[in-house]
Amino acid sequence: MSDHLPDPILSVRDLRICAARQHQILHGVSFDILPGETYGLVGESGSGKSVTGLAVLGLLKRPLAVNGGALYFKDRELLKLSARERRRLRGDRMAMVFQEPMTALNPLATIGRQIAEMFVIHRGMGWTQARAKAVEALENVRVPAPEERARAYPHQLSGGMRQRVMIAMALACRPDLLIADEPTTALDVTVQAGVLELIADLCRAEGTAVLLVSHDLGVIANMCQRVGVMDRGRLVEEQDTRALFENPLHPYTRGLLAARPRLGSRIAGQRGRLTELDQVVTASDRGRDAPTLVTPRGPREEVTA
Amino acid sequence: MSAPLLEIRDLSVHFTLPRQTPFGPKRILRAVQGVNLTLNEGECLSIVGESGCGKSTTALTVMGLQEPTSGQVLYRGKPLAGPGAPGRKERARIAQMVFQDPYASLNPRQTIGSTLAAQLALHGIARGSEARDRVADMLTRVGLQPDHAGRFPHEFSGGQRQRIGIARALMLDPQILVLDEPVSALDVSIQAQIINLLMDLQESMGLSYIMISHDLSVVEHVSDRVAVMYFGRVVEEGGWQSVFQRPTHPYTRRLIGSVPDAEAILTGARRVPDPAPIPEGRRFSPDISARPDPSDMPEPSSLTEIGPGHRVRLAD
Repeated sequence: MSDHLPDPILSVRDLRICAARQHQILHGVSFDILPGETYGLVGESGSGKSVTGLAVLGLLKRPLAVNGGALYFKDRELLKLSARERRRLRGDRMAMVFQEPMTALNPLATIGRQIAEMFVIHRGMGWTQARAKAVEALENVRVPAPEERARAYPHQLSGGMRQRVMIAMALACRPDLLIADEPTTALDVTVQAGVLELIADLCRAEGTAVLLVSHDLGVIANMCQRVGVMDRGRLVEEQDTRALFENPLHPYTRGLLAARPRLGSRIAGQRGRLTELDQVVTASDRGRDAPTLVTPRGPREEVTA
Repeated sequence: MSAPLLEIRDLSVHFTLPRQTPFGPKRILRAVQGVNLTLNEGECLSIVGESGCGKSTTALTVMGLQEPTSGQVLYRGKPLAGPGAPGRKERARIAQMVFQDPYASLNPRQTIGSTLAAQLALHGIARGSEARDRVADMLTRVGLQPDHAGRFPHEFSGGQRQRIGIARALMLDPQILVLDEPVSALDVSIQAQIINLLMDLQESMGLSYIMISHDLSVVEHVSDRVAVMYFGRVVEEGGWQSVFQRPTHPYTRRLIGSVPDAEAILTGARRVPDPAPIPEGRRFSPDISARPDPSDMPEPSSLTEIGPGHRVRLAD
């Protein structure tokens, strides 16, 4: 391991987001993602993890707006770019996989066309060549019979297949950063494992950095080297994954870890009562403006999935 | 021995699919094929499996919301359908359902109080101030405030709405609650509260649960018995300990193996417990290496006992 860490691919500095100019949604969030790293954001719904991802891509919709902070992508300040320049980055250098593939895909276009569009727009290819590349992209995400599937419409595919198509689209232009917002929440557990493995394999092969947004700590542990825990619009803690599970620093993280029903933890002859979050973390520990508890990055580990 | 509280006997539910070509054969989707299950008093029976395996269809049949193609549902030994069967009102007092998405199952234009009191009036149990008292009492039981009765569903958080969904199901004092993915739409932190609430209510009110879930860690915590369904059939069934500590059918093993568990992943200690031995010369049915076509006739198979109360489906 080298002593100095590479420059981050994405640097979020004191990011603030408000709704309708009056309600603060994000109270200053800062974190870095290094090249090739998978960074996880966990938290409950409403903690601001998804809006952070959307803000990086520049996809926030009114009434949500960034009202403070900075986003550095490689050496560019994203918030100072024009809408046109950001659009050029989006899909090419940074891409997103959404939770619900059925609403994210166009139901009226074949999936081959939707993937090919990426090559036409960002690479200036002709449609014939782009279609051939689209079939290749489908093959890369291990879709069986890619030629045939390229001619299918989204509704003709299963949930897992649709999510693979989303991944193929997102990774088509070999972006530097992939933002995956709950990529497997809508899928069955048996399918989830395959999709996570696919994301990990492809990103490792290309050295793509990933921002993985999830509420599932199991998924986070499976995929990420580094994890940020969000609560009520604040990043309360950031650690290497193993350290986070072994030695959670913030009471909220401890509560979150304790509240999980865990396989194999029920004791025979007893009822499987669970620890509730409120029993671990007090109200005064939450929603306070306090610096994020951060531990330095340890030696960089391989993605385990 | 007295009859179990609820018995599902040889239940099949088939759906007719549209013809693929104008003169082609009719295709039949066998959503549920010959399912036998029993629910004893005070017990929580969980049905697990992935989407499309027939677990929700089975639950809907218990509720009388889906006609079975064949087979019966017996309540205390008496059939719930056919001549002499209880009417819809009586049935509503036997079993009630808690849905996955509480917001979609509550009327947005009715206050919580009127939603809850409506059933009391409909069944002629209580009206006016007595109904209000009962509603207030039920809201307290599920961990809400009595004055929440005047509010509308949108004023509540997801966890509170699920509490309301539970209160609604309990108003008529049913024997059985059918819980269809009761916590899968909730955050981890709130999941724990709702699971604990369900277990407390089960004890204090003597309820029996049929829980439909795909989340095995929740199932392990709550259930007394577990049935694993795969393409319309029960492939493994038994007490929670036998199923989770000796998972034997390859499909059960795959399900347990796919649960992402943080500590197991980080320590590399991930392991599915050893299976129980199956009788010599027998093999598992169905073969899960290929995806079965639910419109095909399945190969003959039967549930075979491999341990006390622990059964797996083996080919005949």
